[in-house]
Amino acid sequence: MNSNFNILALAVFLVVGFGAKAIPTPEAVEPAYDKDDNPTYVIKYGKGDRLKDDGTPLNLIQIKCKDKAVDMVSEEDLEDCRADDSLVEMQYGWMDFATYKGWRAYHAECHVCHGPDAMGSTYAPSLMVSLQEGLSYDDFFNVIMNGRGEAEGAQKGNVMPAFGANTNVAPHVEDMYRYVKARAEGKIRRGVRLPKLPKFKEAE
Amino acid sequence: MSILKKSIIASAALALPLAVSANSKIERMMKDPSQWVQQSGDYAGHRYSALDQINKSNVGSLKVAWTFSTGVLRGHEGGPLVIGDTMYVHTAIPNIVYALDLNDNQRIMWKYNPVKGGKYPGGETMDRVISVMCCDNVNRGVNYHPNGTIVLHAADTSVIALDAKTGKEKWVTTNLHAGTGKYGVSASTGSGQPFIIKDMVGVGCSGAEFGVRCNWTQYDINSGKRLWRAYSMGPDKDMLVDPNKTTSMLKPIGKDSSLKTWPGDAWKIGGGSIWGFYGYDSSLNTLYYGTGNPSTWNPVVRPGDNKWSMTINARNPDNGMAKWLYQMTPYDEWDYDGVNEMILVDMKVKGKNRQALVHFDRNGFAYTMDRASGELLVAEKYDPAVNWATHVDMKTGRPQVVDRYSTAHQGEDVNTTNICPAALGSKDQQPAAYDRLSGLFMVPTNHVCMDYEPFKVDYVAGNAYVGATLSMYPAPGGTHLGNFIAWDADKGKIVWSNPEPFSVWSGALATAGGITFYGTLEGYAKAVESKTGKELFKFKTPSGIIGNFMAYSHKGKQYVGILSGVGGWAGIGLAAGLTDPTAGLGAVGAYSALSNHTALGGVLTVFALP
Repeated sequence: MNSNFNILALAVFLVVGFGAKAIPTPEAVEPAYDKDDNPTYVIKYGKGDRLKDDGTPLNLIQIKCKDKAVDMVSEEDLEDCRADDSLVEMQYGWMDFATYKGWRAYHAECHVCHGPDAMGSTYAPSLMVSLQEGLSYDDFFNVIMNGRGEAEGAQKGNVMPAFGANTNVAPHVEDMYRYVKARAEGKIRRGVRLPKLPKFKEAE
Repeated sequence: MSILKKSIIASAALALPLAVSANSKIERMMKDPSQWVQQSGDYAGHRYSALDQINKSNVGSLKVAWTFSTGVLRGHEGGPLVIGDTMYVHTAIPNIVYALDLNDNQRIMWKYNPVKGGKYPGGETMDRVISVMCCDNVNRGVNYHPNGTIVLHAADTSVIALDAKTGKEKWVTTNLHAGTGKYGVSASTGSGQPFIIKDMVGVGCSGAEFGVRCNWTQYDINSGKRLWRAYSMGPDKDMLVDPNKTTSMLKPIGKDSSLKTWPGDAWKIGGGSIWGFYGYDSSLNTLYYGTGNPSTWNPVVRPGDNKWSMTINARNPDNGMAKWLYQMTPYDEWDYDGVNEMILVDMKVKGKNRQALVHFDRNGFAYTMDRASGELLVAEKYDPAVNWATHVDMKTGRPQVVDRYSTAHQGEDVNTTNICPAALGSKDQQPAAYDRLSGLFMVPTNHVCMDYEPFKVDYVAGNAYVGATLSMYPAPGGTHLGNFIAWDADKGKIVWSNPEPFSVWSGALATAGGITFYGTLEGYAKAVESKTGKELFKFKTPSGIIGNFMAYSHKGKQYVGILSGVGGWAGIGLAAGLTDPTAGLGAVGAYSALSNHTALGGVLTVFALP
């Protein structure tokens, strides 16, 4: 690995310390809704947890460069941050279980077209970008349930199937939205399994 | 007998006015290097051109002779054919076929589009078919029968025989349902080449991610009548196996060899798709193909070997009966489809002359088998990163799986990390070539690892049936995602290896000029010295390359052709880059994103010396 990786490893070492105990995961939270009653994610921030065997911390949830999520900054800003560690901030935390379920459903059903981490593919749009550009929950829901062809504005030759009858997709639309929203808002980073809070159980 | 000797005898036979069957006619055409009459060049899958006008001393001055836009975006796999003075070019969905007149500046002689009024011949709309194609709209090319037929295996599974002269339909039959689930069946699709043997054409099927029970189906080339169908799993009579005569590891497979290896009737939605590149040996009268993954991707729900998914099939093409079977990945836990090409080579293995079959499997092992008996001769890793199994037990033929990387051992809802290779395999469908001069295999490979988390899903007819999440990233210790390697199939060793920033997803072509051609996902067409791997030529084509190189000559001049048009499974994972740019703040960084290098568009580029 190159020197950038060492910077990361060092940062983790400083936060965690040698031989530190695993940090207890915070308690479960209810699936959340925003003020307009649209589904949203919950993040609980905390300290960096122990290392996985490949050297990455268990709950590194986002890396920030100049206060912005690192996969959203320009190449110039990235260069600056590579050169100056003080511009870099590591964020540790956990997503709520509902958002985790959305991540899982997305990477089982959606990523074969829309790409890993909601980043898009050569032929299907990045949903992270779609949300950043204003795709509402209602539209997200409708397109998944009913599909979309060229007539409904899909790019030529691209088709979104209807998943309304698919029991592996339809029940998880809220959770998928939570996940994509967290990606769109730069709260969670790419390529990792999400550190998650325990499953929320309804009070008896 | 050496292949060279064989080909000399065959050339001598060319002069004789023999009454020959279609089979020997096409085999003679395959030996004429001025034409490229089947997707793999020949039945043996060598992807070798005997043309040597372009060679290692002059390839550096190669120039673009002409180009042709297919008019279709999305991924273009496969490659064109050349029959006489006509070139046939196919496209991704809608699966247009063009006939180009090489005598008249590539004028379009005819154009055929199977989609009429938005619908494929089987009745499904193109939109519906696109929505059930796993992993892009690719098609791996048309094939030719010497009765003057071009055969297309369209995305909706229709098999379409076209008059090679006019492009008019001779017959059309729809093999399976590109289903909506309305028939209560799974959604099958067609992406693999139609394969011509004698007066028959055979097709496989895609859709293991949709719970299809896949099969090979053989049709009569003249009438389109169905002759036989062999399922990948199920009762013996469905699979066309003889419990006493069909063997595996040289022993009879016995009764109900498949049924015993599935819980309940899970075999009914068992997958086992067939969509790669196939082989045929006319002296043994044997067809060779591989079957894909068992569905779902969640292994916990289907304990057992899941036979005969992930299996090399050797079959009699006349009646479909299986001669031998060899399962490479029993009880798949990683999506290591066994569909990759079968390369048939007569060679020395461990000092003994063998009629060998060489197969580079998705699971990261390269197998050398005796293609007459099905005996396993060599099974070695062709990417050192492969870690899911320590080795293949040569007595049982079974891989020795490492618990740490077993997604079934780790269980449902557990993320098993750092498995190599990733689901797209150490190699996917991109076919390798056999260099007859050096005896080496030229292999385009992936160098990608993954985390894999299986979980429970419901089966809904007509819908995807996957049941696992994946994250993919470069193999440890490097930042490159592919290698182009030379392989010794006797010793089971890599001879040389060229790293590539992305998976090498294009089919290779070895030539008598001592050079091998391949393409890259950024769009480079490259030529390397076959013996050493030294790069001698590169040119950036209009789009990323997932097609296969071919060669032909016209009016005494050698040409090399390649389809560009990025897409396929590689185009999904790599479009935005596989690597987390945050890992060490961009260890790979922007370079990992394919979208920074190339964009969509089907274009044929043809090269020649100036």
